[in-house]
Amino acid sequence: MLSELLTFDRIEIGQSLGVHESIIDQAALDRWRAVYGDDVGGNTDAAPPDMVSGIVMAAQLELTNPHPDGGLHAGQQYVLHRRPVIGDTLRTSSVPLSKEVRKGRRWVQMKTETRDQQDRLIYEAVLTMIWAA
Amino acid sequence: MQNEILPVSLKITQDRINAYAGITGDPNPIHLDAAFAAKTEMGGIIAHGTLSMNLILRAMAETFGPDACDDAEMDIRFVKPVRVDDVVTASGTHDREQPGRYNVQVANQAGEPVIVGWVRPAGAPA
Repeated sequence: MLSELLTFDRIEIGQSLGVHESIIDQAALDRWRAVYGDDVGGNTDAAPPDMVSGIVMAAQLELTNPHPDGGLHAGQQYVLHRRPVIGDTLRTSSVPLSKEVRKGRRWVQMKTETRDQQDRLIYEAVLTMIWAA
Repeated sequence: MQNEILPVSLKITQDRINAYAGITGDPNPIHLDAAFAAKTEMGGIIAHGTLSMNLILRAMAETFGPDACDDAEMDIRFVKPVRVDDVVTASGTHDREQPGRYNVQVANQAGEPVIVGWVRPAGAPA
């Protein structure tokens, strides 16, 4: 958690926002399935492919916390390398890639990378957002 | 390769939005607080964009199998907000000009795209 509100002006391009750690456990998979239903192809110990955004967004939000309320997502790019499984500890890092004001809106791009406990690449993402303030 | 990505639908209830906010740790009041959301440019509660986006990967898994999502790519834009009680459907068609890619969309019950973009399942030509 950051010590000060992460406003648009405070975002530093290329400056790491840190690393967020999360553990894939049965409870996490159960919470996901409570929203979407059973995994396509049947439930296993692996996180379903669609859980990528849940893992990445939870990390991103924590790494940018606190930030101004009311922001919006404009676009997202993902590369899914492999599905994490129960017992994996994931480490997601985030770095601001760009920011600019266009038509009165504060556009921000962040790049994230998620690795497992063996340092294997799990996910890569570029998140494009409209920062609230 | 298959020409279509099989459609997958979901009703976006407020309960589902609340649960998703808990999972992702996203308490943005634009998703949860009707009074706050009414004062924003959205004019009311909107669902998390990724709540609908995730249907694209579910549809891809449904069509090609979950293994096709390992070493896969997705690039999307959120083009229209999703409201409470909307029913959204993800689908896609093979892009003949970009081998290995599928143009995808998530549309609401009126057929209006809310998310557009493309995916490349694993094993498809880069």
